[in-house]
Amino acid sequence: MSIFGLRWYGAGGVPLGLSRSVIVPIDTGAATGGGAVTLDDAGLIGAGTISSGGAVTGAGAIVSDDAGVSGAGTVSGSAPATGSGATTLDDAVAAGAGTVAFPPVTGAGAATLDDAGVVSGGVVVPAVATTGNAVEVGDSIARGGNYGSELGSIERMGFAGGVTIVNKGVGSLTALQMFDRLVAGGANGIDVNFVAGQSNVASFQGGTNDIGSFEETGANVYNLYVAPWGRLAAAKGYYSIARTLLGRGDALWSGTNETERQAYNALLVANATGAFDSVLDMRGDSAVGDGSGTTNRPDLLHPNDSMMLDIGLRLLKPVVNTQLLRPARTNREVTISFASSPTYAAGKFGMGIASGGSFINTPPVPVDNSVRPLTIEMWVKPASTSAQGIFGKLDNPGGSPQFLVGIDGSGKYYMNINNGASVVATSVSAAVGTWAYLRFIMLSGSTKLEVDGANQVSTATAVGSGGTRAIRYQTLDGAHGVADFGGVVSGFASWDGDRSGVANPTGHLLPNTTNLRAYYPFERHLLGWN
Amino acid sequence: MIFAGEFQRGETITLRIGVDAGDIGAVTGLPTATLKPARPGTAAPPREAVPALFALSVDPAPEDEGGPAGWNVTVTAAQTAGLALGSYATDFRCVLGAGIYKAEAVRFRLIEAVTS
Repeated sequence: MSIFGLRWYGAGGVPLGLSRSVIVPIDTGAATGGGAVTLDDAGLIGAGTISSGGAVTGAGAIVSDDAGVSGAGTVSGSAPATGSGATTLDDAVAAGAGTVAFPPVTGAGAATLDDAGVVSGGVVVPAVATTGNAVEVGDSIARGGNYGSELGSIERMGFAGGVTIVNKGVGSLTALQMFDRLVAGGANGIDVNFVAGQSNVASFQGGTNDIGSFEETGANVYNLYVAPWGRLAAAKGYYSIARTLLGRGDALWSGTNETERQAYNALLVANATGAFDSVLDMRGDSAVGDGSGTTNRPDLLHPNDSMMLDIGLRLLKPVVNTQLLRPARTNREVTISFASSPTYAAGKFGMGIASGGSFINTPPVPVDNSVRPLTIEMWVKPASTSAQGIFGKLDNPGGSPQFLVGIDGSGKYYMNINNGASVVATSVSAAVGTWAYLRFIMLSGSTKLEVDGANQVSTATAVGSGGTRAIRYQTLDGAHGVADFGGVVSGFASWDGDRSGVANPTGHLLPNTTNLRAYYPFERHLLGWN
Repeated sequence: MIFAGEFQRGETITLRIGVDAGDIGAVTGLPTATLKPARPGTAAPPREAVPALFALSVDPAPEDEGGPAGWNVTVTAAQTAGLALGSYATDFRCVLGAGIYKAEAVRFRLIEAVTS
């Protein structure tokens, strides 16, 4: 037999697509006798059957690649694919009328198969969610009301009735408005649509109105509205999804807008701050992506019905399905109180808190006295190197600190355990305007502090217990002889276990992170979750 | 389905398909290709129920800078002049011995011409 391949070519002989290859059988007498034992050598003889009744026999027939087909399309022998060769899908052979004989994929290899597949009728069928709740927030492109019926892409995914679909798209809505609606909750938010005990998916489609109508930059749309939206949705118990912005050709859209759209899409797809559980990247799609121009969009902006269907069924559904198949996530949002209204500045990732008055009070979960070892971490950016407290645990309010992490009189990061029982400074000097990642580790018989995953110091004094206390940041007022922290704090994390020496995080963390007890991004409106 | 590009109404469209593996001499008879409207908004080939518009001219093409030896599939200028604006698709059928083989469908978009 031989290989025959066809391929389309463009101008100048540039190959297009992939080569379409077929195996061409040898007509008669091609390989007989000893040479016919393996498939490559056997070929097809006569009317599509393999000679000598036994088709392929001997050692060569044990793995499926070598199993021959004889008679009317069936695989000979009682166990067509057995042994180690049959544990992966590629080796499963088809027998009879399109079905796979015997347990086609068994053993260790069957536990993977993307963990989702089932074999039916000879093909692998991905598992499809039968229950769950998918909510979309977006603009007119999400709403789908400008052309054809009032159905958006999310309503055209074709799930069975056990999956609830809610489209909360509103024409002309900006990403900023969508974010504010999520913060406000109620009928316009998505809180009311949350179904406890099920997998909930929140899908975000928006940003083009911010760029096109308000000349907002792509970076601002992503960092100030969309990324915080994704994290807040996740904290509220949703799996968060966003899709890239489609190109536009309408009169409102300028070259500058297009540049910002592409910048936005690049940030969204990179997902460097962990804003979304999943991002639907449509940029390279041949039918709806950037290369398709504005095909199937009558006003050069809004997808028509067929394009809505294409996006929903072919592109959005697999992304939503993957999230719906995950375990239900609970609402973990928490309330954090301030001495005065907080102000925000650029954080390590997204936004951070620049000031909250004399204290920022969190729930006690991050410093649970019953849990040891326990690690708490936070990004800090000092505004001065004078002595100041950064975070600590103390009675509520105004009691003595069980511990305090801050900057001492010589400008070094240090820790104060049990109201002065042990005071240990690191060798690291605080630098104005420079982010440092502080890690404070509480063990049963000792305490450790490190900066940027290194420079660790320790004391044999353990943080005391007792009393109902909450952790505070930017605290320790004059009553304790230490000034309030004057810089920016961002990305607080509380972990089970001793995380000595772990590298600094590269983005915000999502609620399903292993061993993570609580995380407070300290972004505008999204203060944290337990 | 491969996207071959945009062409203007009234323009001759020549699509080249080459044999990049195997023996072109094994192909018996002259291959055939027909044109159908492409399904809007999707990269999937046209449905079977969509009638073909007409058969395309298929001519042998020797190996040259346009690619390996194969065939040129041509939509004539008169044919494109008579088509509505939009997307169209074709594929390619040839016979090797007792088997019939088809290449992947290719799609192109027909746009209005500036110069008639």
